[in-house]
Amino acid sequence: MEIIKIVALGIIATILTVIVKQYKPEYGMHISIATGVIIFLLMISKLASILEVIHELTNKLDMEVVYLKSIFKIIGIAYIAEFGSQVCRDCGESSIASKVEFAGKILIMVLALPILLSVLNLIIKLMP
Amino acid sequence: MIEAIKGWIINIVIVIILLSFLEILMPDSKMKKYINLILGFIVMLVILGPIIEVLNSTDNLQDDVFIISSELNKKEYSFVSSNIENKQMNQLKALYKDRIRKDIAYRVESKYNVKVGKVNIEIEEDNQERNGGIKSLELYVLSSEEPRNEDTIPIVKIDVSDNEKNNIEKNTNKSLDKDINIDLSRRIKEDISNIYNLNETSIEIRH
Repeated sequence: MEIIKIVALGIIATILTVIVKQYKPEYGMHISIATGVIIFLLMISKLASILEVIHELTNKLDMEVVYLKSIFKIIGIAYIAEFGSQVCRDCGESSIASKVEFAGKILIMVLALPILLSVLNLIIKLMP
Repeated sequence: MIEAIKGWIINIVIVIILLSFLEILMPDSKMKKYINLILGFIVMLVILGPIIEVLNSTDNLQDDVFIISSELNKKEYSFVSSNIENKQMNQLKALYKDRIRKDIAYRVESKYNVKVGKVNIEIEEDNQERNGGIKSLELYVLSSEEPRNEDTIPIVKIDVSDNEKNNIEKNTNKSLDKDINIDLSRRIKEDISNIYNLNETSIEIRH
């Protein structure tokens, strides 16, 4: 039943935005941002439970947890950057949106670089 | 042996299932290819796991990741801290100049019956011996009887070097007034050069 709630929220917000945009376009933007945040907050507990399960799964695995932590961080950064850039793009500021994406990419690279470099080191060491 | 192979295969299966699950979670954007790259590396590491263990049992990959990430952090912090140091130096210089300016204005105002309008200072920065010393000084003096409106005050440039006569000749009609001013500025100059151990030629006083 959760999906009905969210879809209803989305449809109502869309109709509201369309109506409000005729008179005050800036309020339409506010509504869309608020809707995005509300949907995210509704889903956050479910997301947390999913991540918990994944964590438990990795305990069975004898793989290093570092990688998974970085992967979670990377996915989180990607989501947040995506959210921000889409909000910017909706308001017609695609240049700001691309800057937000740029920042997201750099942060992802900072997290990914240690993994990349350690793999590289490993391969070099494996050479006889 | 069979146990090890069993563990290895379970590892691979779990990682692949996990990663395909994570792929659903990922946002559909340009970021996807970056995340896919990292995920591919991790699958590679898991598949190579036993080989890595056999060939170099001493090195721990996890430690490597920690070391590299801490090095990255260190570089970032050193960059930030050098920026902060520069900012602090600039603030310190500004504060130093401001203090000297106020000090000179206070001294001149309290000793002579004048108002100091503006003090321009240049500080020695490259010279190692005299670092922080005053390079040149420009003092705008308004006599106290006149109102402090700079538009109404005649600005007379007094060059200390050797143009004094020239100046006086040019402005002969106001020579009496000038004489007093010149005398005053000479006294102020001597005073400042004594206090700050400054060459008199680098001081310029304007009325």
